[in-house]
Amino acid sequence: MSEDASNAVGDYKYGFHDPENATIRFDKGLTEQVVRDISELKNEPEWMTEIRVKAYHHFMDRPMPNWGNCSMLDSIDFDNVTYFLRSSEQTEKNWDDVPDDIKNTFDRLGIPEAEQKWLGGVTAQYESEAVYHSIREDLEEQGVIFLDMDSGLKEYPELVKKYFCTVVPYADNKFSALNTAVWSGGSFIYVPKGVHVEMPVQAYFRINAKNMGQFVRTLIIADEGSSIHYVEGCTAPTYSTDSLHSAVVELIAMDGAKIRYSTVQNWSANVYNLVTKRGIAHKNAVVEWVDGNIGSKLTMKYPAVILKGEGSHAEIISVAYAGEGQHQDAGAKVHHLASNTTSNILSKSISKNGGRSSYRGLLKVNPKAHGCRSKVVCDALMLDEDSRSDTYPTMEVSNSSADLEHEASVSKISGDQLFYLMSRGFSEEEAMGLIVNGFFEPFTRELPMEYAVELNKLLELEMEGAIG
Amino acid sequence: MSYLELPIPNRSEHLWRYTPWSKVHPTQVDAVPEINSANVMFNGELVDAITNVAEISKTDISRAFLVESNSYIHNITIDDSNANSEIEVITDGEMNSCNLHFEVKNSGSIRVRLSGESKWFGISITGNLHGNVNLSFAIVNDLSKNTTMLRCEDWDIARDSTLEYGELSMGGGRIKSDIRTYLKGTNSTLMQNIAVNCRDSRIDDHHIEIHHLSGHSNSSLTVKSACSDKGHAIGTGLLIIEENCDKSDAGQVFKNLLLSEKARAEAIPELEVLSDDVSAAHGAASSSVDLEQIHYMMTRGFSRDDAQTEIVEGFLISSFAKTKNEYAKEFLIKALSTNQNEWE
Repeated sequence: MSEDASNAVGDYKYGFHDPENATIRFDKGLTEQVVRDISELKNEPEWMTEIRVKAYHHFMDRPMPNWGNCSMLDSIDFDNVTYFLRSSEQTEKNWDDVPDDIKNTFDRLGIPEAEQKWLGGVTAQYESEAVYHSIREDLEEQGVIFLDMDSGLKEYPELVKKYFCTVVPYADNKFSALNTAVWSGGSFIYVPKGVHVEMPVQAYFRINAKNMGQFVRTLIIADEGSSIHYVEGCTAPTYSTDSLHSAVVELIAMDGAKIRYSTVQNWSANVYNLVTKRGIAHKNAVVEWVDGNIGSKLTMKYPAVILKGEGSHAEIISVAYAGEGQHQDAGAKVHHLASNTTSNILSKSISKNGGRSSYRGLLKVNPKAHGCRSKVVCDALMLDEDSRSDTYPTMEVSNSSADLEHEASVSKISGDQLFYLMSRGFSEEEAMGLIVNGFFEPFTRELPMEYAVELNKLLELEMEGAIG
Repeated sequence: MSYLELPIPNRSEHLWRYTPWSKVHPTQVDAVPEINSANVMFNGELVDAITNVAEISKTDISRAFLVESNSYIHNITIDDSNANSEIEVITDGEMNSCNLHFEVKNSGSIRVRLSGESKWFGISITGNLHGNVNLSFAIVNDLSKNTTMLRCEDWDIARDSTLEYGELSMGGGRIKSDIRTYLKGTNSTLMQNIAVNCRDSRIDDHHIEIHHLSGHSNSSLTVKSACSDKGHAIGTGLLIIEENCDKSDAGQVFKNLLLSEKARAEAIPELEVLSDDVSAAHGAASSSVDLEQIHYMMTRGFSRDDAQTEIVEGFLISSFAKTKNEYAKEFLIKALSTNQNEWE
């Protein structure tokens, strides 16, 4: 690891990387030909190529956002990004068939162990495409489709065509256009009517190559009365140059369905994480985003829910940790389009060593949406004087029967709490770690046990050296 | 930069998201018409404006426009001789504007009433609170309902000084107010309470910025809006606590009461905190009138409409409950009650 990289990423424990053994690697830079080549390489139907090309032109024409951390955004060099890299000829169903170097990487990340213990299915994506994929037989027998997105398009083209880009249109924003143009990998899930997937399914995304762009596309459809919990984890090695992760996630919860989407993002501190995540909840459906942002250089991610059906509900829990050189610009958006819809948003952030965390939210109530209820709570902790915390909430209410609340606070760790713990034998660092874990507790308790334990360990690691 | 050199803001800019600049400019956006000063009465006497020589920041389009379109200013000094002052600004004609500057050397109160019939009215208010003074500033917007108003205010508060700010906004058809306060000295304090009543198709867009530039500075902001008919209230707050401003204490609350199906309200209370040892909080709430309160009033003989009117009046008046200066408090409450009675 170079000295610059070491400085940039500190103690990041997933910062190792393997030698690049790409079977196909595109030249850096983005042109229409690159977009067409990706589509051709994947033998995609014509309609998908057309969407990709349209999205490419929209991406090129659309200016960069003029809000958020503009200086960081402007430093992204789109010409220095590799837009497609294939590491393995095919997606394996047997862990032993995965190429050794990639297998070792995921072994070190604990993926196969987790699968055996507590997962209903796993997709492991390395660079642009999935290298391993499996689903429990009993789920498959019940008709649950859990594939990587490329296989989903091949095997269920009509289903993908019906829902692709319906929740996040390619012209939604500059980065959704980029993703639509060059997407590769991600997950495709369909849960049939009335099926409850009891064990979470997981996707694990890994960037290994330098200056890599990973453009994951995920589409989850939960049919009437069904439910699923999808868990996503992300890591990357540490280089002195930057990588780009620009994903789009579309969730569709039909009448009475429930989708929970949990993410623990722990990209190394040289990754731009610019993600569009949105779900639609039909009548009495529930969409939940549980979103943890620990790593990356700049994250811009605002999980959204469109409450389209009467009685639908959105739950968004988001935590962010911004350390040195990091800006976590995260938040949540809820559109109440139908009557008697409800939403809860809880956002917690910590800034340390000059890090910056921002909450950016939108709560919108349609004129015809009667009896809507929503509550937003944002809490921010600042651990030193070099850090920064911002809150940018927006409430737009066009119906008089709506009941909306928003509250936010920014503070430092209470001296009383520190004193209490230290008087019982904890060092200052340990006490601070305990308080931070407690601060994030509403988030960690919503995660599967193994993730929660891992997150606590990560936070402890991040908190090392927080004192003095 | 002059007005014509500044870019015309678009709706992607936070400040102009809900009220485009073209809607509050009196003519075409690429013009700077010469606008006459409104009549200003100071403690009952008409006062003349003088040529404006003060240097005013022209990085903001509203401020640049107001200063360039009217090169006159009314300078008012608050000292021993006029501790409790009353100012009446009366507008007429097609376009009118007014630049007011307050140099506050002693504690006291200023009550400002805006009235008149002009179609467009622009007002720029600047205030400089010297060290160790307490000023209670109360402003009532009672303009004709056909008036479009563009208002900018900039207040500097020095060490150990307090600005108690009360506003009642109920006049005009379309209002764009941009109020910025700079807490420049240690132990400087701002207590800002704003009540907005949007009836008919009145649109009231308030942008309130509070900048903590010194440690041990305090601010509190409460904005209460009641919207009925097709009324539309917008409240955007930006609270900035700069670096090295430890021990600052800041809070913002936005409350909206929606009284009809077509009423709308937007609340965007923003926080930017760059110091760690501070207390900063904000909150926003939006709802309709509590049916239990209506029921309570109706069981005591009020009609449903009267009960709602009383509740709304109470909601708005409560904005000024903590106003310490009795002159200012009475001025604001009386103006609201009179307006409510006229409306009935």
